[in-house]
Amino acid sequence: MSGSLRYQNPELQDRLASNYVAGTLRGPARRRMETLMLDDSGLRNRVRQWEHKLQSLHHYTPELSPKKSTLNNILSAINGAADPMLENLKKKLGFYRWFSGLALTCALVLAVLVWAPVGQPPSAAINYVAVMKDSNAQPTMVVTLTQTGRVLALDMLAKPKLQNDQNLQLWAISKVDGSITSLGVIDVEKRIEKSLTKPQWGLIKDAEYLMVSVEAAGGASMPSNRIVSKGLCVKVEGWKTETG
Amino acid sequence: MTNGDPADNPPAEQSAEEADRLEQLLARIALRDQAALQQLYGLVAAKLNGIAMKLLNDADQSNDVLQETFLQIWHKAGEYRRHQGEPMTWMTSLLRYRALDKLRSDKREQKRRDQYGEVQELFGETSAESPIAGMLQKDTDIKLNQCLQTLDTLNRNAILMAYYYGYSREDIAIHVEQPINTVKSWLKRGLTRLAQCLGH
Repeated sequence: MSGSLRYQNPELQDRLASNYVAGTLRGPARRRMETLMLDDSGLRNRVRQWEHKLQSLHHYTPELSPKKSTLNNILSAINGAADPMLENLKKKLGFYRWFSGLALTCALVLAVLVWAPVGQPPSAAINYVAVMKDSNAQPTMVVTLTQTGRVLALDMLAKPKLQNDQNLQLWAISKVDGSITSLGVIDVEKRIEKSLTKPQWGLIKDAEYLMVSVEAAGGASMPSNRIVSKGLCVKVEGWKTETG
Repeated sequence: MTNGDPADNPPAEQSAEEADRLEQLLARIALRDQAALQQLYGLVAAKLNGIAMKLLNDADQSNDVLQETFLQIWHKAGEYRRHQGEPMTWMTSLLRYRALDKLRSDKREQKRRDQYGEVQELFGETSAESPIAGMLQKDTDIKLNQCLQTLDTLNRNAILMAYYYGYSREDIAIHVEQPINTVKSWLKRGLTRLAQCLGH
């Protein structure tokens, strides 16, 4: 039985889900499970059912007041992440979209570089950016990635037209071996924010390109040939940049 | 296990009104309402911190995990769907998985484990204040706790050590001085019987 078919076995799925929720799947096995869940709604549902069933165990767990500094730290991190300079930057992208793809890429990367060290506490700084273009080299999407909270934010400069039974899906293309791995289905929204899992953040660190394709509803295990946007994933750190 | 939505049968301890309130706060947080985040924090942070403390047994680390979890809630609130699970279950899961990540990276884990007396209560007398006493009281109306009491003691303890106290299978094996394969069997048998009892 092939690996993917093996994981369709309901008994195995339930055993994996119960061990994942109980916390006994550790290390690479846990990361493998998280990767499997990305593309398997049935497995995700089994995990949610186990989470629900075991939740009652916390009924008798005594409350413990957090430190006073914890809420302050949370609010500082949030307000740092919503720095108005970043918001202005993104608004300006609407104007720059009429420029050539190369000019926009340079403008954005430079803007991020100028902004990052002065306007932002280190915990909320952007770590990666990808300006993604369509087949006419026109910028259509901008992805920024922040290690704090492992947040991926995607701004759509132009929304692709989809049929009802289609979804957009985001992919990472490895700079090491060229392998293509799903980062999940995304909604067609002006702005999307999602938190990445640890394995997904690993894919970002390893990525040469990010790419968005049109897939059947629910997504696919490999991208179709309908690529709507693709761009280099550039690491941004302090005043230096390097790819991937 | 059925394919029904988990939220069809909410845990006994969470009233529908409380869940509704948490859901409304999450909806406001999805719209970047910081006041809603602070209200949510006031309602659930102490409980979540208590859960993290059981797993990590370290006040600094439990506060770190709580902080990371609230940042995740801030960023992911828009993804929350009530039909997929109750709000408290969703937030607890975010917290537990963060705590498990923290445990994996903590090389001092075993040292702390050796000093962890509460777990020992699973194998003997429990003090009245212990959450274990609550879980195992005979007249409980919580279905999960009723089912836990039907399990073989070693199977039940293995599940509680893993889920509630964050023990890995290796930790459990060391603690009970049994081979790891024995622990794996306890967990497998215990979780299977638990699922049957809960009507999966």
